[in-house]
Amino acid sequence: MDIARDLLIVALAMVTSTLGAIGGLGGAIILVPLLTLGGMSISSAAPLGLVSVIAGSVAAGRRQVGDGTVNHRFAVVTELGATSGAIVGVFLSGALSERVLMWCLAGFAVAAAVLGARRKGMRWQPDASLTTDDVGERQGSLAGAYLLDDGVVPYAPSRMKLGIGLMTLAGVVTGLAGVGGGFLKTPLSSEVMRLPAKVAAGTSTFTIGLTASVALVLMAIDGRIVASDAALVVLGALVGGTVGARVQKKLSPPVVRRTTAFALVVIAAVLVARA
Amino acid sequence: MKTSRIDLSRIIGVLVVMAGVTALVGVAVGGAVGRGLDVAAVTALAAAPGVRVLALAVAWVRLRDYKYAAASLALILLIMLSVIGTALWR
Repeated sequence: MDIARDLLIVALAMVTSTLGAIGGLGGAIILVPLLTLGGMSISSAAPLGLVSVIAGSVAAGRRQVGDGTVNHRFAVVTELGATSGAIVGVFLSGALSERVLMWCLAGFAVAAAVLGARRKGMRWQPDASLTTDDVGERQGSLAGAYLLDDGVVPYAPSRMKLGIGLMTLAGVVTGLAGVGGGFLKTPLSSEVMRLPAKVAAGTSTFTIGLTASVALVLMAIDGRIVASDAALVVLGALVGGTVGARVQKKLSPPVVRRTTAFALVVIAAVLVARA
Repeated sequence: MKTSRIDLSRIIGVLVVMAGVTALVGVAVGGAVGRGLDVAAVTALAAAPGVRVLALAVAWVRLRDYKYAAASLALILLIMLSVIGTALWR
């Protein structure tokens, strides 16, 4: 057993899952290149990236569900579009060169970063008439309320048709490129469908876990998962996801948006390097 | 405001602790037993998101929120079809 190597895998999974949980971006898109830099093959690193996304997603979910920063109804509705698109994308894979796809994704990540960082203040404000009993999703609709410091913030997403259309398109692109797409889902939810930044990040953290679990099943069928390395990633990502959700709770929505924007720029750089 | 929060937060918390302990013991023990524990931890976590969607569907049916219950069941069906389709296609 190489203890230094094992500790490095745990640490990398922890750091990338922390970042991923704060912005709802997953973090595999950063973890996988880092693991390959350490000498691991891409075919071994890719399933570990998925394991980190799932573990980080599940760990972050505990706190995010309690704080009302996951809107499950919104997640299910938009994921129907994204999953349909991803299936189309997988079957069309090879239709576009990987280089073109990576540049497109990088361009989108930068555009999303600029949109998120440029916006000032908070779109949704705390409502003094609401109590912690009001935190959560509103039955029969996509509206809800989340806990922010000592206040409760109500929200109602809008432009759903446009958003689901774009989610479907994002699904096609991610299916074509073979990437998770958390970095597309969070900005679309926040900037197009006007979900609060924290709810967009929490909801995206849930949906990317779902997407990653499907991809992991396919990789397991191919026998590509090294269980001992996956367990190390589980340990790091469970801690990272928990820490990320705690950090996100303490940050103000504008800071979450700016942190997400920074991570998107890093992701764009990684994508350009891959291209 | 009615919410659909059953006790997901607590259920997820128990799962996180169980998966973490299983993975930790698996790494520490090593060998065939350790590998079995590693696989169990990863499998439990990989199943969690799908089980969560299924639990939401059940909760929404109980709340008579049929539109979103149907959406979540449609999502599960779509995911199952995509896994089977992709596995066969490849």
